[in-house]
Amino acid sequence: MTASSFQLEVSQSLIDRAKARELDAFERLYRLFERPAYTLALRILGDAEAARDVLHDAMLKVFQRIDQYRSDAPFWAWLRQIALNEALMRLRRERHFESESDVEYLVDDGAPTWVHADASALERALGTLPALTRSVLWMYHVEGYSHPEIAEFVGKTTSFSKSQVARGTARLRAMLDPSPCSIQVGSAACLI
Amino acid sequence: MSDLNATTGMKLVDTLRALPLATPGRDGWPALAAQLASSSTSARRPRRAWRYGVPLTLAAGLALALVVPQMLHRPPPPSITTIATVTPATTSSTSNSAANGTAGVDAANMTNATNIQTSEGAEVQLAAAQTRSQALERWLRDTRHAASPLPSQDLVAASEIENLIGLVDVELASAPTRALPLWQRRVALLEDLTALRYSNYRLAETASTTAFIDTLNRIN
Repeated sequence: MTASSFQLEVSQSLIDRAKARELDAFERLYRLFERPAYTLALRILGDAEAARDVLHDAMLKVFQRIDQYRSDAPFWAWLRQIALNEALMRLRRERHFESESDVEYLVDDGAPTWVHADASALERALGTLPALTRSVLWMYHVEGYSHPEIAEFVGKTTSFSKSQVARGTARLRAMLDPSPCSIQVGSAACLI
Repeated sequence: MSDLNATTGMKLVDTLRALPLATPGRDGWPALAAQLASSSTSARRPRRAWRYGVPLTLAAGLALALVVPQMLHRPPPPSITTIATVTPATTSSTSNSAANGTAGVDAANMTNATNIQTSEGAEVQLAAAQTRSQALERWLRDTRHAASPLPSQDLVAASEIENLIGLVDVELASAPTRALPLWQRRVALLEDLTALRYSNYRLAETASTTAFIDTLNRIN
């Protein structure tokens, strides 16, 4: 399994230089984490301009506080957490924290549809998920956070996180599968 | 549900992680570098400067003397109940006179008087919250550079609390009628931040002691 895109080695000397406020060290860190941080923000917010804002604010926060960073956790994990917080706070501020309505989706245990889907189709499908569902799905599957951690980040219960992952997964399957029975329960085509 | 996550979900992980990283489209580094260069300490984007600027201009410094001694003597910040229990003198004296049997008082007048008192009480509480907010914010600002590095988890928590304060400020700007609970919420968050910072506040021998005393002098 591929690791989170944030999991990059950062030398202690680079961190030390950044702590000494060397601008070229900042730039190296920025270039290193620019795309992972932007991608995370984009997946959560679903908006390129907002994701750029989050990238800017998160990096600014990282650089302003790097002298307070202690090496008790990997640098990438620390930076990722700051970027995630910025993105989630923006999501909350823009009132996208309401969960989707309690809709059940038919799921079968056949071959997963995303195996055959190309990247652009999957990205489009991701983009249609409710922001909070997409965020939870991304945090769980891609960034590897646990359900209790996600629950804490979004201020909900662990059950909520689990249900969002299941629901988002089912919904992705439904959107990527052309079969009429992959859509919502109650569809006339599936009742026949 | 768990079976779904265990089987199809595992494959979804690989598929999602295989998605190419997105690119921001335009280079954000020049703007960030310029901002870092122009302001090395409390740089914020200009559009957000009011978040902390507005509260700082609102309150007077009368409660500062209350803040510092408590911070010096015990790590946890003062409780929000300090604010909640602030009661205007007029309220208690009027209540006493009512309790003492001013039997001829018109009920409507009493209601009006109560409303006025409640309103005055709210104003006093609001002023107290604003003052306390200013005091806490100033302490946090003044001790920022004297504090030892925060553990990663605390640093992240501090970052989140600051974001929540920003949210409260947004709400304050859009819902002035809810000023009192919002200011009290702001104070509670600042107290959380203070507790985090205070627990890591270290005085490193004489140089830092001098700096700390200077800080206290400025606060007082």
